[in-house]
Amino acid sequence: MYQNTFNDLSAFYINLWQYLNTFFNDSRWSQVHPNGTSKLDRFHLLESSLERLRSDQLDGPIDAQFEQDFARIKQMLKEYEDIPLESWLKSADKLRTYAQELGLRYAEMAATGAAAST
Amino acid sequence: MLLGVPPPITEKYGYSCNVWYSVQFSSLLFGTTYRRAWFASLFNPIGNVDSSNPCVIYMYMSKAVQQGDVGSKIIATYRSQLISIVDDLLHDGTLNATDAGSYRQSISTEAVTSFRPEIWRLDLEQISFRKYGVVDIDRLKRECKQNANQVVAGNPPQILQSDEYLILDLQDGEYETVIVG
Repeated sequence: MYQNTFNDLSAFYINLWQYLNTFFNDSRWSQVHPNGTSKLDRFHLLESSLERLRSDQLDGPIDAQFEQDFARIKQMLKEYEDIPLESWLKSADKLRTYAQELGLRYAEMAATGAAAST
Repeated sequence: MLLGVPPPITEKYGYSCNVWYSVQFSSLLFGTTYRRAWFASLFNPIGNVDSSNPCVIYMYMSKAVQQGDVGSKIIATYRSQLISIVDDLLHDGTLNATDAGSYRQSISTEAVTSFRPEIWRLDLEQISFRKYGVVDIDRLKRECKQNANQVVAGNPPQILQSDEYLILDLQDGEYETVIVG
């Protein structure tokens, strides 16, 4: 049970990281997507992973945390046109690093759980 | 000018930096018939940002792998990219949950040594001959520049670099791995 939840949490944060990558130059050469994915498609993938996570019906601080992180990116997108690009990218990069760290950490936790159960 | 001027640099090659584990994983997921590769016409195009410079990517990756740096940000990026593609393929139904879980586990726990970088030298003459029936490097570069521009233009505020190209159908035998490790 926990393994699926950790995978869903990981998928949400990796999707958030990948969506934020679309604003930066620095991850193109490491991508393995056959044809790339547009910014809008990536946002839809992020929303889908959020829906999967919501369906897990988590309680407590984890649930509050990912909802808060999704609200944060939505707020940042509203501000995109209104604040200088450099400042916006600085904030986005912080969120990107945070999302990647959580995405990989939850993936490791899912992997550890899977290894323990076999 | 005792020795004269150096001969011009040949334009027949392109240079790409890839990671062994990502290449293997990509082959597993998408096959080996057509590979996708970003490349530059120079090994060290200093006019590009570091992340679009095969020489610089190689240096960062090689250092992280040789140092066994488990916390390396650049290795974390390659792991994240692979997890991301597995999630996308699960989402569109190409992978089932069991396989996706198994791939995710493998990516998360793979040793740092598997992320060793490789420099590929693309034979642009050979590629253009296969695609157009004649050797036409300029045409090939125009096509690959357009591929790159489509990715970048769809994702503002990314900026296409001056010496940056994307090939979508690279085939075995059209490139040589010239530096490893």
